[in-house]
Amino acid sequence: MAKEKIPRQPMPEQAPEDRARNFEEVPYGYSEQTAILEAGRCLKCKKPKCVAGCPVGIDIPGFIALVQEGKFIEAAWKVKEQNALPAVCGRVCPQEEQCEKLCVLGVKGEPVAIGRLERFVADYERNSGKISVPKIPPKTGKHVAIVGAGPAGLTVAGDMIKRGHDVTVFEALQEPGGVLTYGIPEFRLPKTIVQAEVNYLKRLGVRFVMDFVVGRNSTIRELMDDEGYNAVFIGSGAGLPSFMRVPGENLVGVYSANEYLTRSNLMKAYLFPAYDTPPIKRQRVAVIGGGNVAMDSARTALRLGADVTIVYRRAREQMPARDEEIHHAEQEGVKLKLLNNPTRVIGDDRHRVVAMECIKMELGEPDDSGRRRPIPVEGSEFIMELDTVIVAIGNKPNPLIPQTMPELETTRWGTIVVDESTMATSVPGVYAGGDIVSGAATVILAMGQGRIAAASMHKYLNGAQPK
Amino acid sequence: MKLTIDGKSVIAKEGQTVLECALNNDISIPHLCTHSQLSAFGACRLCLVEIDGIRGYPTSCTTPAADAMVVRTDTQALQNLRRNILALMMLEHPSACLVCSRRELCEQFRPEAERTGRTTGCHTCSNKEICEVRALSEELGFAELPVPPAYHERPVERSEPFMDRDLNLCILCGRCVRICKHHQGRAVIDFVGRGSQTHIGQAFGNSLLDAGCQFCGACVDVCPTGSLADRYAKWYGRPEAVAESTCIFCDHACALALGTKNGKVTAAQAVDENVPVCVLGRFAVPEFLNGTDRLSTPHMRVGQRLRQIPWEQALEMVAGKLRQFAGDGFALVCDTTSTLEDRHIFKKFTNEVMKSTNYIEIEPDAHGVSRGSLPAGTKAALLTGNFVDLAALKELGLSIVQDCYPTPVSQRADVVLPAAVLAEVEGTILDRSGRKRPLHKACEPPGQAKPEWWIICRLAEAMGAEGFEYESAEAISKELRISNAQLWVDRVEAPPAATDFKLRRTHFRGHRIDEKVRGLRELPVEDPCALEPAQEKHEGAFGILEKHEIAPNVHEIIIQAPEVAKKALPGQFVIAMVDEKSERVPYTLCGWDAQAGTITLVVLEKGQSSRKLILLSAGDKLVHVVGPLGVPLDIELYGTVVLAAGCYGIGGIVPIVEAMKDAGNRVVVVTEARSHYLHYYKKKLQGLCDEFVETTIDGSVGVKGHAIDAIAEKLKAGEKMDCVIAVGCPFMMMVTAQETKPFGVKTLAALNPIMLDGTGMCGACRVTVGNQTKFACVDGPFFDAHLIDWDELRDRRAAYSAQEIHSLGRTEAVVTGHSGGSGCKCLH
Amino acid sequence: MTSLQQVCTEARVQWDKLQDSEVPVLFVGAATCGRAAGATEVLEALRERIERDELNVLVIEVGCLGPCSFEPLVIVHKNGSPRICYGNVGPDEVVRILESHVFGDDPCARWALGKMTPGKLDGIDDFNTHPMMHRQVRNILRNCGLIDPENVHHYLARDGYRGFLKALELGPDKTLEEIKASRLRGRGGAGFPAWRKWQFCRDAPGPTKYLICNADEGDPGAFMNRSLIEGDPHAVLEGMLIAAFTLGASQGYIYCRAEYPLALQRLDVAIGQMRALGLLGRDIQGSGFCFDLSVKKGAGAFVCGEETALIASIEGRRGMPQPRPPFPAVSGLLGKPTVIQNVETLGNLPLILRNGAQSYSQYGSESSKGTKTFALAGKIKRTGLVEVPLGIKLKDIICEIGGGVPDGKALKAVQTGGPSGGCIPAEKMDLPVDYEALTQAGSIMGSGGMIVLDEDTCMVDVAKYFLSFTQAESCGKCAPCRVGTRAMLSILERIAAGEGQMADLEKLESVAQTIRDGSLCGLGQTAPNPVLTTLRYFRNEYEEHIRKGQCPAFVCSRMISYHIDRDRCSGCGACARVCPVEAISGQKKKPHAIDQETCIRCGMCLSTCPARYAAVFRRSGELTRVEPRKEVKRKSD
Repeated sequence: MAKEKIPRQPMPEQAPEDRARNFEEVPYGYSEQTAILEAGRCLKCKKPKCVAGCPVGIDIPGFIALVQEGKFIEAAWKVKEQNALPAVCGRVCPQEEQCEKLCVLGVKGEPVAIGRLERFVADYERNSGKISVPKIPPKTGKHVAIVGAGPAGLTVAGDMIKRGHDVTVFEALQEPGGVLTYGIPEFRLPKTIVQAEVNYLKRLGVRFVMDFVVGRNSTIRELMDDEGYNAVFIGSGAGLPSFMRVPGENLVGVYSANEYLTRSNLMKAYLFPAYDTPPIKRQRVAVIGGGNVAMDSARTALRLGADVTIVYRRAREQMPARDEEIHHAEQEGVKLKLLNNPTRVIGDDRHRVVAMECIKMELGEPDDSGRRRPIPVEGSEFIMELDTVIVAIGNKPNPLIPQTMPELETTRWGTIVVDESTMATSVPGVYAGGDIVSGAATVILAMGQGRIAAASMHKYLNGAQPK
Repeated sequence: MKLTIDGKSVIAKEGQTVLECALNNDISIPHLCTHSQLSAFGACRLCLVEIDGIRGYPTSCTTPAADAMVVRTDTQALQNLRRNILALMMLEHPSACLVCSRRELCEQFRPEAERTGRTTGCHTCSNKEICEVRALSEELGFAELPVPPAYHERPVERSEPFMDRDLNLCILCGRCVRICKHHQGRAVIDFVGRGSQTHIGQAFGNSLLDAGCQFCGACVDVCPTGSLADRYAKWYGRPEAVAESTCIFCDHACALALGTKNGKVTAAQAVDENVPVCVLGRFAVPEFLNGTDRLSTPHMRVGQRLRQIPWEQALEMVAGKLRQFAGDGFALVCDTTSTLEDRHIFKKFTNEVMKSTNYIEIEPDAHGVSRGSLPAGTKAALLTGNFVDLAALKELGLSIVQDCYPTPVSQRADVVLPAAVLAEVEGTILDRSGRKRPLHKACEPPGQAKPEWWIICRLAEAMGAEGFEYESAEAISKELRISNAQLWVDRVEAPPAATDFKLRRTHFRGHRIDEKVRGLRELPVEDPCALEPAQEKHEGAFGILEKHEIAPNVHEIIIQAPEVAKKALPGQFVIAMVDEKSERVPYTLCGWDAQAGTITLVVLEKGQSSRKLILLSAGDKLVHVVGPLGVPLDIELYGTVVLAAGCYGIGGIVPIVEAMKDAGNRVVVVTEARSHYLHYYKKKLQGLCDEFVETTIDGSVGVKGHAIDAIAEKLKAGEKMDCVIAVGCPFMMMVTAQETKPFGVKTLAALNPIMLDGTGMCGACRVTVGNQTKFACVDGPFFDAHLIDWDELRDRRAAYSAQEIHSLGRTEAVVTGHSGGSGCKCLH
Repeated sequence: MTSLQQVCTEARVQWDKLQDSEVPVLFVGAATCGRAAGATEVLEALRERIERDELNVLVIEVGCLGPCSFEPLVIVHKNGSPRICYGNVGPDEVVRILESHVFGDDPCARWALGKMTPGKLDGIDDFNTHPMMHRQVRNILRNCGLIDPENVHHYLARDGYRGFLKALELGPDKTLEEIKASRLRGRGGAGFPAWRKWQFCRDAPGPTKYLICNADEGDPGAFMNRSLIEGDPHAVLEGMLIAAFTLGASQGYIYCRAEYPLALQRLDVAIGQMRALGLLGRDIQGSGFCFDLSVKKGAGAFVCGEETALIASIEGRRGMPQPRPPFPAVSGLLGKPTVIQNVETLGNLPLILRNGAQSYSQYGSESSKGTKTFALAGKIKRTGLVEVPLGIKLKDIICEIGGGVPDGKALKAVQTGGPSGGCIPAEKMDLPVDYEALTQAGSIMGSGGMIVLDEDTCMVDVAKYFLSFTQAESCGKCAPCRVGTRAMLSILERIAAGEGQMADLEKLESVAQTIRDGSLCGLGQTAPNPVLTTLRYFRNEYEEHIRKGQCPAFVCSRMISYHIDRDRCSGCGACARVCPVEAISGQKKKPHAIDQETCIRCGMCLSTCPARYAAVFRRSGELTRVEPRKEVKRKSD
């Protein structure tokens, strides 16, 4: 059969009506046969465009070829040469915007399912138990501190340990993973996968220090001057939730998506009362925003038994969330209320949310972001009766580190200024990446920045004298 | 007999006491130890009266009414005497709230009691809404104590299943002792010790279990104070409503009074206080009904897994499949704990719709175990409980389980339908003597669980059958000609299990009851497969070096946390997790030693997490402690700094006092507590500050009132204050803010709302300060107290109280790590 | 009947023989009080010597003769010589008496208290003229110290059980008349006429009635009942027979505290003897009267002296009083009519029956007839058990019989009636000792405890002592008693610590009023008495504590301080050596000084400082008030 005739292999998944009520992962993943079949679709282009679309530069045709040969483990190793977290990326990367967007097959038909294959090989390796531990070069004697155990930090950790440096990751929460742990729900990214990735890094020799708030327990200056770290990577993320600045926003029942998801994911509130953190179990939930976080929040609320509506001020086309996520959410029963914007939240005498007032919007001329600007339709206010509002309109960078390191140059939005080619900050030896640099963005982008930072940190360390 | 009471001529029956006669004639005489079910005791001395010809003041509860008696019940002398006696009684019962000048404001600000470990006032008492002492104190106008209260410093006893005993609240009315003798015929509990050491307990310090307690709960029911508490129900407070229904754990079918709140059964008691029910009826019903793993939605097997599906689909799907199994290949198995109505429908469905003769009704054995087997050749089965072995399923083409809890069988079934049981349904059951007894719906079933007749009728309809159009159990009972059975008839004798819990049933519909009701696991039963309570042990890194209960319910804990101690600054806090399942809870740093790498926390037991923490003892470890968090307080030279502190805040201000003093300020410390015995750190603070003022709400030591009263007095006298900092509960800080505002004194309050990460990520700790949203964790904890929206703060803090209560409501004994909080005084 | 009379006759012969014994007889007072003073050692020494030398000497252990301050007491019968009672006889002395008097010619007059039989002996007066004895009338105690309490023949020989036989002769109604005529009042404390209680009980319906002897003597310092049982158990038991016969009671109980092992043993022996003599069981002495007796041991709870609590305790329940009515005489033990009488009341009955009501009521005052035993204790020269006619003046007991306060100190007050009683000040020593007069003075007769207080006694401290006793002994049932006493105690402690306020005195009175009016039983109702009487008679002393921070008696340790007069101190170091907390320092031969911070105010220095220097003195007042130290560093540390 000609290659172009093989259709893109679908990935089996839980039926929407099932999964809307449980926290288990939605897709089941490829089987070996399907994976080989799908890998067979790859044209093995001489000059593969897909690689250019990958922020971490995985040898995509290389690993796909290995899959086709049935060498799944070897394929996984191939991916891991560039990507420390393949099982994660295979699940949460917006491949349709990156590698798959550039796939030649995609021009006429459907691109090769690179993401699904990546996920497949990573899962295959993890399940086989034959996890490769690369040979680590002799120790350089240099010490690297990484602030934040999120995707960027974990990437840097992996890259730096493989280059022979001592790596310590400082994490404020009780578990590593950053947004992978507290933000992305179990049904989209099982926590065992994150744990496995972290364990892999631990096996490589990365030291994790939990419950450590850089900026409070030690400043970066102290880490470098007193604790003997030669270089520091800041991957502290965008951990300050934005609110709408409408009246009633502090009522009981208005949550940041961060809080809502953290309760459920990190604190396992959905297992309450086996776990002590109580969940937010309500009847009628509105999620404000149109990004992936909004989808995650909506789908979590659904699974906790609520009737969920997403309220977004622009149209569907402008929604920043991945199509797949929107699609999944809708499939599961999340309602979309597009071109609407909340104007106030209404509470009862005990400050509990009972309703939200919204105004209809229409789209005007494109704004700075290139998207068409939403304009309120005067007099179109209406009331939605509900008991919970989840605000998922983005995060601002956490100010803790910039506050405690005045010499660090930041933008007016609070992000850290870096040289994008090296991810070096204004302070020598200090690098940054991920959401603390780019504002709220994706996991893979953070990882890409981590890779760049790691490379330039390595160079820096080789030039610098160990302390 | 004719006698005169308060000038009114009344008739008394032979054998009546003066009190009974008066009450019968609408003449109220205050009384406390008297109880309708119990013989007169004469201990509380509140029902004293004057009777012509009798010396002194006889107790009306013990004095038989006699002909021509002249009784006065309400003279000035009697009023004074009663008030004085109550005041004496209140010396040994936390009573500050009864004399508090801000009681009304407090009740507006926090209408529900905040339940704690040891109760130190009405506001934290599980009996707040139903306390007879409180009602009497209002009636008698008790306003002052003759001497400072004499708190007993007794640890809360919580090592027994089902009940907590806080003898610090006990007024020794003896009701529990008497009802116990009345019901059990012997003294399981009795007065122990002499003089002021007299207390209620078991002989020789035995446990209740060893003393022969049958856990009929009658003692809890008659207790007029909060000293005996139903461990499960106490967290819910007073029920919103009481509904009567019948217990169907066994076929004695006792009538139960079910207290409900928010659509849940929270407590169960005997309808007739004179006839006790057994431990199952008294203590097992709410926990069984409210189990967190109750089946609540229909499930269908998809591949290896059971998947949730909506009812309509489930019924349609089951109907479709069942059609293929008509005839004797189908069997329906139930036991006699299903209602008559349900069983009628089961049988009708089996015979008429399924055309099968295999309607199997099991009679549970003495332990309540219902085991049955499927007839040979069964191809499809509908099981309404855990009745058959797992192996039986292998042969089946279709297995449907309609039940209240999951079982190994339901895990393997093709379809699982959630059933409403016990107090969730209407219906009729037969007791062992063949009398009909009614079930009344007292609460909502969990999730989408449905009455069993409803499920089968709808299923029959989905299969196209006719004659199943019932819309209520009543419609079925009409057809069955069941008259409206009366609950209150024939309740004359207690079930045997009320006097010997070993005779209780262990199973309900094939489920082990003690799997769901944890308190039962501590009661031995003739049952070889008793469950071992699971012990969870966690390993942590943050070791507890020392722990003392420095005041009732106030625990000082010294924890090894070098990273925190190294950087801590005054005003900061930590977030701690006791184990991996704990919440992240903020605690104010009350001290640290960078060199030793230790931090000191002062912790109040208030909820699940703080309870976990205070139940640890020195040598135990916490899994996570992160900090220091929050913006340290601005330490500068203000001039005169006044620190107002209450409860845990007294510990919280220690570092601030030190720092403010070092900065050259004149530091005035004002600590408040309900009563003198709740003060702690006095010497420590006296040694640190320039002026130390103690206040107590009951006036037992220092200035009478709250901290703000002492501060306001100073302000009125023209004393100069440059900054007031309040650390304590929101009510205390709110009051402080309210009253310093007119004086224009800069006032800061340390806020501790609910938070998760403590680094600004979640926003749970939002507070409105001057119409701006602030995050307490990264902008606080200190804010301008005059600008804080206190009502919002209060309500945000209470956001999860309902769920929290759900997690606290347990019936099993609490394992105490520490040697009982007898109150270490070494630091006073 | 004949058989009992026969035994009596034999007993008389035996007794007479003993009185005229050829063989020397030594009666050793070996009741609990005697044993405490060393009677056991005396007996050992005596027996050892008798055995060693194979002496022909008879030794008889007897009960208490009364003058406890002279214990151990030995009475020596030597044929041909008057009997001599010796006091303060140790093991050495008894051997000397044996050698010098019994087997020699020296009557050892230096140890003799007096002659007990006629005859002349140089230097030894009649025992009855001894100052401790001559005002006493020993009727109830007539056998105590003279007979072998374990030998029923001794009792019978001295007219034992004649009272009971008389009662049998009279029949119940006339016996009751006789008791009524005697105007005997209950000796337990309240002085309720005995006959009236009996009348109630007799009138109560039902054939079963109970009699209980209350031997739960619990007042601190009281030992009248114990002595009587130990010295003459049959007197009490005969009384019980009389009472039971009159009441128609078929079963009697003796409720005796387990702390009285000797008394319990005596009762056991005596009851066995009664049985053997046909004085218990069915158809006693052919009269048709059936009665049996058993002894119940109490655990020593003070409140069990209260009738309803005592009944509860016998029934096996916790000793907690119950409200009256119903009175025990109507519904008592097991719900049956029950009479409870004190040991001494019962001890009076044989006398009344034997000698007639007339003879009995010749003693005593108008309202209070007969004699009464008292236990003299405290700051008094001659402590002991005395029996006097009621109506005697207080000072006669204290000053004459008791010999007044020792060491030249001044009498301050007498505490009567135990913890339920009160303190009668020295200026009221003319008070006649009868029920009404004592009650009027704010105290009570009680069961007969009498504690003498001298000028070194702080009345606040006394009140505190008694209150802490009742507080600790409260059964805990009712709040006025349980909490009220605690509240009063805390006020007293505050005053004793120098933190009192004048308003506290009114508070004390107000709480006392609540306790009196509100308490369930007598224990509570009378608990404030020690405070109220001290407040009534010694209010100035309370005020001095409060206003000046002074304890005039130098008792309240928070208010006193010890000092060394530099001019008088010779630096001998005696005080420093005895100081338990090393608070005294100074160089040899140089004046020493006391560190007030360390001093615990034990007073050792003051009592140790040689009189020739008298350098240590104490002070009381505001200037010297010192915070107590929590941790005391002791020498051994």
